[in-house]
Amino acid sequence: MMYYQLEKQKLRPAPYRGGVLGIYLSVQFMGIFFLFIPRLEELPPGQVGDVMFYTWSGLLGLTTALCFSCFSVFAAILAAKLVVGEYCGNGAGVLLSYPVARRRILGAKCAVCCTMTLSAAALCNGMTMGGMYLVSRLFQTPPQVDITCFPLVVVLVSLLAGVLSAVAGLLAAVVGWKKRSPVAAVVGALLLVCCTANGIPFAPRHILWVMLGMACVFLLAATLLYRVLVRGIEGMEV
Amino acid sequence: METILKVNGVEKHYGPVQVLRQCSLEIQAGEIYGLLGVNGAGKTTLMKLILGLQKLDGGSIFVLGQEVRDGTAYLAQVGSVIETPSFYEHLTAQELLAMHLAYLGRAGDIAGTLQRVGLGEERRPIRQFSLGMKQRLGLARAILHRPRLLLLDEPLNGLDPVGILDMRTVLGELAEEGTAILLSSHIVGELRHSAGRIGVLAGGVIRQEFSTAEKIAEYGDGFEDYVVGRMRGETT
Repeated sequence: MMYYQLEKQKLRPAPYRGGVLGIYLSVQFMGIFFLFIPRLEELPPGQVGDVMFYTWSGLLGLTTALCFSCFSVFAAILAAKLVVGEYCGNGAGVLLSYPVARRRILGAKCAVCCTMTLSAAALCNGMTMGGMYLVSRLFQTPPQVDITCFPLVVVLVSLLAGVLSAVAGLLAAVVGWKKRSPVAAVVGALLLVCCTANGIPFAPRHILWVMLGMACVFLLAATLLYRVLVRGIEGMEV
Repeated sequence: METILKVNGVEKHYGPVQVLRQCSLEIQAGEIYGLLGVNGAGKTTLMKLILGLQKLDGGSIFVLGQEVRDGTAYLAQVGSVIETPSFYEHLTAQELLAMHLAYLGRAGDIAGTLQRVGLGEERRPIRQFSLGMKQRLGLARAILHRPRLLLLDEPLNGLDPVGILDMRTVLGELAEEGTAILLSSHIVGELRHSAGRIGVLAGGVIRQEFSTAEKIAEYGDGFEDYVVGRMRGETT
């Protein structure tokens, strides 16, 4: 826990808070905009191509995909700063000359990246859906509810969005470390997002299962790659 | 006298380039050992090997009796400034040193140490420090936990004449307190004033080792020429 606190102290919080706020406002704006698309198009509900904007599950899929995309890049930036930047930068000599197992410090760094991303992404997604619900009530444009226990689904999907984003950050850290470049970490996250974000709104009514499946694949990949990272950091020379 | 650092026939190569070959030296408690060598002679590499930042290809290094290959426990007794020190620049000097102590799991006098290096009144974030102030802070970080062995790689870079004089004073005090100091430089004049003993690193080995005072007495004004000759690999 002490190393976790120390790693957190290394980050200047203001830019990251600003980043989270910016992402939230952008996603919230997009979410509210999605609510009004059926009105703007003046098409009858249920028409092919519009179904996403007429149901809560479709809207959840869209906002979750947005949140996942943005927070994956956010996580990659965190990892680039805290993991790649430190181990590949001038500070590596000091960091590696502490009488502490390298694996423990690396673990604390990754824990900071993951917890910050997970909490921010989950909160942002949940708040976005909450905001959209209020706006839909206010303007009498409520989409159809096509999933049972929808509020619970929102909570679980938001948490899974956080998990996916955090894991994407971890994967980005491995890419960045392998390439010895913080930029590579961010590019890695962008590529990952491009390849996977479309999967989230793929089957809106089964979004929970889709995301659970994605989370399993991501976690498996992250576990394997994290081991590579640990071995690399433990054996690295500066 | 207690031997703090013992470097025994150390070998290190980067690919086909052999940087250190059968390099050996010993430093006792309270001694300032100057390591002189041209750029690329292997001074920084030797320091990194002592800190466990690089792996030995041969030979052995003992710090306070512990072989560096056997773990990192000895690092709690070592302070270092390797190359240009880097910091978390949004922190203040006090916060940075507190973090350093937490990693080391040691106690230390933060205010006293900052006072000692001339940064006692500083409350600004480190990003507002000059290069010289950062160099002083690097030294403060290295000596904060009262290490038994201090490794300083070109510690005078960026220091003004007052800073150099202050640094010299601090190093002298530390040596009197029993700290062994390995001070690397390519500036002969500096080691002449600070180091009790000088080792010239050339061709990957300590080509010559001598007492600074004895050689100054022997060569007088020609001391620097003599040392530069050794750095070039001359034997006569």
